[in-house]
Amino acid sequence: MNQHLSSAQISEWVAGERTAETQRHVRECLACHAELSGFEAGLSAFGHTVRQWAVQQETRQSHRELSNASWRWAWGTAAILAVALLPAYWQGQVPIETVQHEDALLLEDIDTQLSRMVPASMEPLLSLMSLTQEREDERK
Amino acid sequence: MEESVTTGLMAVSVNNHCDEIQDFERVVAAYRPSVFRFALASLRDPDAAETLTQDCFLRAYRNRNQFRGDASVKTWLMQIAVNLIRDRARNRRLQFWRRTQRLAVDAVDLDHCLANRGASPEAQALLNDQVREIWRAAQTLPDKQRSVFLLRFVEDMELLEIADVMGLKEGTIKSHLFRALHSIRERVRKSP
Repeated sequence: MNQHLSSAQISEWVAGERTAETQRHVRECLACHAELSGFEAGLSAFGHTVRQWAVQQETRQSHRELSNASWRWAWGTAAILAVALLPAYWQGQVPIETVQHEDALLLEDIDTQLSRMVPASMEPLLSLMSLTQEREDERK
Repeated sequence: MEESVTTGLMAVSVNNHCDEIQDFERVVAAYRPSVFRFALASLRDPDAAETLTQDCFLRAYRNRNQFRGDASVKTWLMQIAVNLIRDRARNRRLQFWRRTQRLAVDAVDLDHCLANRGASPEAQALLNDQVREIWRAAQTLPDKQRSVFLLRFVEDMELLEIADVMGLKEGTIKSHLFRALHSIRERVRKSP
């Protein structure tokens, strides 16, 4: 074989199809040997690069899964807490009727305070005065 | 005598494969990287590759009792992965959109992993260009050729193993590999 290997022959060689003639030619022809080595080195580097990329992506995926799992735990805990605390929250809420009744009592109390003739502190004196008045009336 | 020894060895091998599949956690730990790597190289989408890997092991787990042990566990798992990828590729429209979306991203992603193999900067740059061109060319290969090419050069599988995975004869695998290599080589040669 005097001519160099064709592109198809080089592909055949790499695919594993190696005739005695091509084997002899590759041994003897430096140009074809270099061509073959270059192509095989490229394919080997390709395999290595893809394997590296896969490792990188797998690590990234597992980190993402871990982070998602943390978020799921956080949301789950929050949901459980919310469900657990909801009855306590509702128990703490005063019914509207009770609030209205308390408001009415307060207004009544304010009314009483406002309708007083004298301040509460002077009320004993007022009752004393009214007692004295009653006795004077009896004496008469 | 020789025949009975061979038959005996085959029976031992089948039993070993059947025993191996029963410890499924160990199977996942041992072969998950290979399945993910092949799925990633085929689909070029980490999320899709992750989903496919999970589907592959789920299918394997469900059918583990049907595993006869004729082939190795890895071959069996790769068969499932190849079938899942083929099923996925049947949705041509989805594939088209994924291809157009991912093409630019992949080249950038792969650039981070290009190795520095201690060669001179010029030689290293040439090799990296060649890797990029092979990566792009592999994308345009027909499905079967691409699977054979990736199993051979990413998974380092022998032609007979690939034939088992693909369910084809060794000669057919050789033919697919030759066509894949020829297309890739032509593309690498034409690249500037």
